Amino acid sequence: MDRINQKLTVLANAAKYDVSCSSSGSKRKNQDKGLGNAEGMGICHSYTEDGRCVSLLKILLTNHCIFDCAYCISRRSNDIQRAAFTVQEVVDLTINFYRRNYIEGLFLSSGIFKNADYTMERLVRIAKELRQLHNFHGYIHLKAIPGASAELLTEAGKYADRLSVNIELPSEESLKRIAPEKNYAEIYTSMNFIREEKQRYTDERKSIKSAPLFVPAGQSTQLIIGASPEHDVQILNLADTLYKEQKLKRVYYSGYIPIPTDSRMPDLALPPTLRENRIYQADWLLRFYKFSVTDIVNELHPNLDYDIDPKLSYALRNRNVFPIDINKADYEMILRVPGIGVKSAQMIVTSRKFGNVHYDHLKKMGIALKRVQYFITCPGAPVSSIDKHSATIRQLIVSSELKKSTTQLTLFS
Amino acid sequence: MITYLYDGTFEGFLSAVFDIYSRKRFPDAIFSTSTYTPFLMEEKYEVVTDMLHAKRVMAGIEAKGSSTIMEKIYNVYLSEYPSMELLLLNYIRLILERGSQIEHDYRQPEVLKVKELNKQIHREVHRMHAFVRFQKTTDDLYYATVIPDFNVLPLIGEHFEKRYSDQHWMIFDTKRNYGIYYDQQTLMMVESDSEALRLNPDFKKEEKDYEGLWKNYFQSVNITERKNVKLHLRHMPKRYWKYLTEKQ
Repeated sequence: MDRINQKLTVLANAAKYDVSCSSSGSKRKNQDKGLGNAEGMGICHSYTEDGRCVSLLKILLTNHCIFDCAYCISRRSNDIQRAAFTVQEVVDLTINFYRRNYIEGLFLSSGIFKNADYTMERLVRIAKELRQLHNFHGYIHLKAIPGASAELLTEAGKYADRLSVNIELPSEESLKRIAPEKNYAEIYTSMNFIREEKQRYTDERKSIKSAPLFVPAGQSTQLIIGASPEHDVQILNLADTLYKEQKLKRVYYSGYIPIPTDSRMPDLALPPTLRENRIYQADWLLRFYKFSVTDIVNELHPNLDYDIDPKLSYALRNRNVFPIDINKADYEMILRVPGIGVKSAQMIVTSRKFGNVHYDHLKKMGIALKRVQYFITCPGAPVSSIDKHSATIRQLIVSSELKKSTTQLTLFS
Repeated sequence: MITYLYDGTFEGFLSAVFDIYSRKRFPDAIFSTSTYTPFLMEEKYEVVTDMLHAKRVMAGIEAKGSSTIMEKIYNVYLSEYPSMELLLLNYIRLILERGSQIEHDYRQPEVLKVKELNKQIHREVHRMHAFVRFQKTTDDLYYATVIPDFNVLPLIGEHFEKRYSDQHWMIFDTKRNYGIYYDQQTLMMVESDSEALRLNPDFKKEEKDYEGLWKNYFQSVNITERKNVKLHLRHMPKRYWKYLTEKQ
């Protein structure tokens, strides 16, 4: 046990910088009284003290690596303890953690040892053993190693619920400088291949119900934020393309965490968590709020405003769109109001069929009137709010939230 | 003051609804026997739980409303919300009078309250899916104890049955003193004095080993540079820590 514990410490520690934690969106059901079920919603079984979700057993098979990517703790030139799991050890940990309801499944990545195929083959072997020998139907997320052969990627896609190829740096130029052994061509070749295969299997399933699942929870990738000079507009345009053209389910953003010095890297005191958070909010606007990238960032505003969320920022820059009449406006426009989320917008739209929705109804629905008041009209809404200048509104909202956060801080100090 | 008294079961409550409608005497309060305190000047009616009556009420709600509405009503019953009986009676009346569409008119206070309680119930169900931690006993039973905020055990069995169909497991609610038990064939309710609970309370050595590995894993994936205790506590409120192996 001590040996396994040591390996687990090293290989969980090395895997934690990959921020993907999703365990949702698969269609894999339990069969033949086996173990596990991965259909439906994802579950976060725990949260670490950094507030991040723990959903999967996220480990590297090994942190031995022939690459020397400057952002990565496992890079060849970094002087750290190295370890490698056996196939059996990973299988045992996954099954036993799963049976105790600690996890939704396995997230397996690896340092590159020997070459891409050699590494990928071992990842696939573990997934295959879990599915075939242990009748395991929990969630499996495998890293697709860029440059791995088509045969291995196809096999991986049959056992895994999700595959991910990380782009890591938001421009090819930065990738070349920071991760000299990687290149966009190889990354995109793997990503394209998985997308096309998934499409092929999806089409096949339309006519043959029993056709096998192929990465039912789709593909994702990760971009590192703050390790290279790209503006938010470049990052969000890249993400938008990945969603639209590569049909990715998720793009994850990982604020660069300064790890023992490598001269190729910027010297940051703290990870840029605020910027990362604002980018996630913008990503949300793209995926669920029908915003376009240019609504959020553009040539005039290449970076997000980190003091306020991007939806409020949009509203303050586009006052000509507002105020919006809650009882008449299209659903899409209601979604654009700061303080109204997807669920609130749906409640408004279904309720107003029965009669006018009043300001008081909004309050009872739990909508944040502190924000909403400046951007809407409806019976009972304060008229004076909508005539205020953007700068005034911004100040009012920022200061009211600052007050809230300082009182909350004192609660915990 | 008109009061109705029922036995606290869901069927009992539905029987009360049946009696209220057939007697055409709408109550000021509905009590379960365990929460009842007598009033002065009270017109009390004691409901006899009748399965046929309960079924007729259910059929009526499903016909005028929908099976989703029926589920929402059951969830509110499980919420143990004080005076949920009267809330549900008014909600049912709204559905029967105005049809299933009305469940989307959030301007109606009852509709909004039923939605809110359902949201809370779903969150608690989701927390149970997440925070239940099984320990393996020497009898090869995977055993967990919980104290959920609401009475959600009836809503979580199917989830665990689907996922652990090849193991014996039990989840026991120590506050409400009953559990759900699965023997690889059937999912059943068990009371605290039942046979199934006379298990060997010892755990295997491998149990300690895996708990140790899990705690180690939990520590290892934390990024100290990103420490954010506020967020940690928001997602994992302290009252749940007592179940959580990694927080012991």
